[in-house]
Amino acid sequence: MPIGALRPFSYPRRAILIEQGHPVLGVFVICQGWIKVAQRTLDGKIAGLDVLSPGELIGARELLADEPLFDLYAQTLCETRIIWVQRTSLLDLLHRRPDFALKVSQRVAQTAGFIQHRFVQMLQARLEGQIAYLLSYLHEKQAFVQIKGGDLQTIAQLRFATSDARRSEPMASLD
Amino acid sequence: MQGAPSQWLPLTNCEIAELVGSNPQTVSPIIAKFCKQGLVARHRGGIEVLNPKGLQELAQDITVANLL
Repeated sequence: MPIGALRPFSYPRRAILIEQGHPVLGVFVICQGWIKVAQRTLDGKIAGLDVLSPGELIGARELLADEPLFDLYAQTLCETRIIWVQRTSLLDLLHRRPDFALKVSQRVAQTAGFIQHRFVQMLQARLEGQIAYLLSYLHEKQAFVQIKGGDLQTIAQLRFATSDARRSEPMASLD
Repeated sequence: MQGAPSQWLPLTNCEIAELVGSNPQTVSPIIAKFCKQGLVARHRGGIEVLNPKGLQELAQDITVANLL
């Protein structure tokens, strides 16, 4: 399927987008809503990793690291709109468009950096401080989304490549 | 999220607990305390941040206090 043909899909609250242990078949781009990413531990506990907002990607780290399976699961926290990009289509685009590849890499690195920063803070603070930090961190994310517009048109302007050679040079923007 | 306050985060106490490695029973009184302090407001299925600066200061104060 050409990437240019992608359309956003709507998911209700509490929908599981990715199941832990399932193969990495592609990447989700959040257009609207919030998604929790978490891991189920061997003893059945749930370790929440992050809450992702519009413009963020799920599965890109695994894809870039060439990991065959997801080691996390992703669940919508509210009504959410996402675009799903097939693994082969995205890899093809990453190979053809170094500028796009750089943007995706930067976005993945930023997300990893946020998680790292949050976990270091969690080690230093008592529970009350951890919760205060978490809410503050998510509030900042939300403010960022609102500045950017918070919807499909302005956040995830994913004008991905199309396989149709007659069209103009493909564009891919995650700004 | 339609009709929800602009600073509304769709998080329950259970989800907050998962994100900080705790349990809802422990998290709940802390959120209630934050509500009393005017830092946040609880809504059905979500939480509204009323005073982000206050939350930041609280997070920083407690972190610094732990390091001393």
